[in-house]
Amino acid sequence: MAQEHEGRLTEMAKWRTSLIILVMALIMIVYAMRLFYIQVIEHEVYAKEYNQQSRITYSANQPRGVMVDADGKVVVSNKPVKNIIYTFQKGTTDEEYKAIAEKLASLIEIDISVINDNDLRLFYYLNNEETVENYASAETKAAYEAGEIEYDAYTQEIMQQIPAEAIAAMDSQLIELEYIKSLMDQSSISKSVTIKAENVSEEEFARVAEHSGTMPGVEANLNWDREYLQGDSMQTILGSVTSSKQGLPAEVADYYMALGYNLNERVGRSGLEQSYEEYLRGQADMFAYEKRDDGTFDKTLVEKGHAGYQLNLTVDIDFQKQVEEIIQRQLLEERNNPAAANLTQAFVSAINPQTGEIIAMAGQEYDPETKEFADVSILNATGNFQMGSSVKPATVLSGYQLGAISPGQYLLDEALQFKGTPLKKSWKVMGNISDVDALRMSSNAYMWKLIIQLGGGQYIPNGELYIQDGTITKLRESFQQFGLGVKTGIDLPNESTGFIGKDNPDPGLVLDFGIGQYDQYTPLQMAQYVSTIANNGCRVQPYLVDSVVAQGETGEGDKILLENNREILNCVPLTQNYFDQIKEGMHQVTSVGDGTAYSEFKGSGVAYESGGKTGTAEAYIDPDGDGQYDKKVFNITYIGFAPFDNPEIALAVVVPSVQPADDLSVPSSHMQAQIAREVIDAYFNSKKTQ
Amino acid sequence: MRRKLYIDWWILAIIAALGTISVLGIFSAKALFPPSDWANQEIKQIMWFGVGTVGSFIMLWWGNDRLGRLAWPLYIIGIISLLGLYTPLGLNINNATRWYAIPGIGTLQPSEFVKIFVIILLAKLAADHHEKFPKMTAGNYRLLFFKLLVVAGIPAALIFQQPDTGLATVIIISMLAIMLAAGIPFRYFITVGGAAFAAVGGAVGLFVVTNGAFYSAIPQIGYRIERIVNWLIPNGSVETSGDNYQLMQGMIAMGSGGLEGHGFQSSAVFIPEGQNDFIFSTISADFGFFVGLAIIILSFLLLLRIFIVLAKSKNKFHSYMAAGFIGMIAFQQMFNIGMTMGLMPVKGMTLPFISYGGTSLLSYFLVIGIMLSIHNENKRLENSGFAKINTI
Repeated sequence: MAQEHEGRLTEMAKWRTSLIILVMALIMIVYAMRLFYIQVIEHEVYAKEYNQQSRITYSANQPRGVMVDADGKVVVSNKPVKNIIYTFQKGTTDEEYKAIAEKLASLIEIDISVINDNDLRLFYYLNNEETVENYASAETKAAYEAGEIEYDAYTQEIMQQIPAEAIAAMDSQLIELEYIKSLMDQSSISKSVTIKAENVSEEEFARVAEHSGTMPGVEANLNWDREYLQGDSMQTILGSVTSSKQGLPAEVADYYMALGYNLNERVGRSGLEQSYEEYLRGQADMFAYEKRDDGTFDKTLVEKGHAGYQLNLTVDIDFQKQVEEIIQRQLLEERNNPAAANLTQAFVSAINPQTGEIIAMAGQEYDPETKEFADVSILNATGNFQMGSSVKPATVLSGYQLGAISPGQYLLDEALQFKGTPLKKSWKVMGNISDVDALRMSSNAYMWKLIIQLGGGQYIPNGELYIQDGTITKLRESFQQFGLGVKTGIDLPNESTGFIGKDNPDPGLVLDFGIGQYDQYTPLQMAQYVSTIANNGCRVQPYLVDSVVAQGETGEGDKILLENNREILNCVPLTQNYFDQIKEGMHQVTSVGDGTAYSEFKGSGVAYESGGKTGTAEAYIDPDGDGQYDKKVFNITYIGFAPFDNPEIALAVVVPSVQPADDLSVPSSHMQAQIAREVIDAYFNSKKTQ
Repeated sequence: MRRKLYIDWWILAIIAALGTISVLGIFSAKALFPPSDWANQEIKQIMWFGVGTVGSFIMLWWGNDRLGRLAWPLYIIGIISLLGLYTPLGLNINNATRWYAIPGIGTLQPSEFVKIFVIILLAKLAADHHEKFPKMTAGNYRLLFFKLLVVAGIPAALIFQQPDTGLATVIIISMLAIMLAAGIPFRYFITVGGAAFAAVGGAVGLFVVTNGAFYSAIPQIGYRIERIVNWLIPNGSVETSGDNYQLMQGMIAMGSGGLEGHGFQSSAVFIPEGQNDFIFSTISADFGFFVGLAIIILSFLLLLRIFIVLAKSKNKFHSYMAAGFIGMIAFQQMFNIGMTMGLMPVKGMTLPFISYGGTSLLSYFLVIGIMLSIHNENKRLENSGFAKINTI
């Protein structure tokens, strides 16, 4: 019975396992057919690719594309760097390999002082294998002979026990040779290694170049290092590239190698260098070695490369520098105020609202320790800040669009008292005011009442604050048409969408949203938003690169490979009269006595009329770096455009953490409006001088 | 006590043939790297083959009777060795913690042995279960199914965490093979298979639809899905991470090698992992179509031979172990060869008896030892004229 049971089970195991065998038989037949297909039927296709790859044994880099400003001034270029590289060649015998190393050692100087002790010990070991065991301590020898430690561990022990004097007495030429060999060992058939990258002298370079015919795989190679000719200006926007030593960053190496890059090729890591990598990268000249009858090698050009393509920037670098200087001066001045201890940064993003061209994008950070400024211009696109009342024009426009108010509508600016919350009010009580007044004087209560109306509620003193769910979503959708809370589409990597709060927060936070105290935006989003207003509702995509051109061969003209033009992302479906109303409010900010930026823009009317809006936000920062965002500060912001009738420049200014907000209800500084005034003045001045 | 040992010459001949190809392949791949004093991999591989053969003969001499009794202890040692990787003793290479550093030997990957131990225990549990519950009722099968699932699931989860998706999958496949052999009803496989397919399919779909964004919060799952997506959509809209480079290089080498191959140490295209995961490409490239075909045929013959030994066995513990080994080896062969020809996603998976590597080779020789033992047992019973009742 039991045996029968057993028999039945093993039978079952047998026939069921045979299913796996059957399936595998089928799979193996498919695989055999696939192998036949690859190796026999598609042979020609792969053979062509193979010949290409196997012939090319050496590539000479071409320089990366240069970057030129709107005025034709070179901003980023390249300087040649000489280096000596080695690429392992298939079929190199041990003898040839050693000969190459020896020859190289005789031709170039190596600074042996940088070689670490472990390497030196290894070199010593390799060259004294007969005698080196004498240095092994008695215990080590005993342990090895007793079989307690393996041979590898034994040799490691010996290496450590070589006395320092013996290491120090090593012949420097021998060290050089071993060092070169150890570098060469890291090469493989399609992987070059740099033998010497720094301080290659003219003589060395010439000597190696002269002898490269007898050292297959060794090249005196011209490489290119990036050179930034305008100092620190815009550095973080221009971006960075890896050095020839770093080569491809490990985390993306496979990706770039699949695109045909070499491991030691440089690649853009950030900023424009990254976003325009495909244009900036030069195509290397490809060479093949052919063996002559006398055993030396001949190098032939297989594929001609080309230099990287030129980027023409929209920015005039001189104006950019002027803006940076204005920021620096204002920061230093304001820092004289003892309260301004947390003030270190300020940002300006300026766009041509008609086209989307970036006019300037500046960000400066002051280091109180070193008393120096650093470029943080990239934060214009990647940094989120609480913007405050500068968003009010968007709030009013949303009010029109969503039917809460109509142009010219009056609302009562009063102190609002909701049940269970502190009194909410504007910086002063303004009484019955219109939308234009509300913008000019920056009324909070006007915005709040607008939002309550929009949210289906009603203000009753001491009543409960009621706002329908979904109101903030409607507001956000409306804000997005202006660029607030969406990507601007600028040609930079890693742009921020801003910081978007909860979907249905407390009604109080919905009110805060309307005065720029809830969601956060980037300076660039603010600039796009004000250009959308300047444009009467059409949102343009900002861009830093006007065009990409390939320098033609002699006799040909330059070829334009890419041209960025005005790209309208969307238009807000409101008619002209709505925008006129908003613009009038913004005009009064700079031109009427109680306008919030009147004192800064006083007198500007001689040169230009402009529209603007100031903003003050309370923000929390973490100055002591303990992870607690517990310090309350003011951010001050400004958006503006000029000339009023036909705007050419639209800008946003953001000054985070200008003063602590514990004691004051409004900050005493107005440096943001001052910066805006000076930047706009400088813009029209520089136009005049051109 | 002296007893006659019956040797399965077939299996040894197949291993010898695979070993020869392996060593030649590794030797040939060396041409792509500069000569250096300590990279004598082909010698090491010969050594491991030697050590493995000796080891498998020791297993044959030792017999399988005691193996059943050791099933639990081995399994527990295996689990402990996996947990030990979470201590400072574990060695992290390329963001994966799979190894111990063993002075003098190099590195040891315990999961390579754990997969064998798991198969031994699963086979033992299934055999015992049938012993204890001779009636093949639905309830008994359900119980067996869950027993096996838990025993295989624990090490599979630990290995998945290392992370090593490949080996975790191997364990699950081995479990399924044993379940199949042990008579688990087919509807279980359909359910499990359907669920797995739906889960992976859904995950891939979500990846493509959100262009990877959905997984940014859970990168440990995301990168795995990305690999599957890259395989499904080689040049699709989803940004590729470049596993394709390895595959591309392998295909160029193989395709250009053609019928005759480039010749020993003659291919001039660099294949990353050309001695290891992509050794099938290296060998087909250097020695041509017929040697590639020989690997496919020999690999299948190995499975067939194990199956023939299984088929002659009258011991269910033995049968189930053999089924587990078939599942394990078949899956690795299918996956590895398939990936080098673009039919499977590129994944760290070695080709049994061909790829370079001591630990994995030794673990396969453990399998050979057990199979030699089973063969010996079969022959002994055959010659003694009656079938022995299972007494483990």
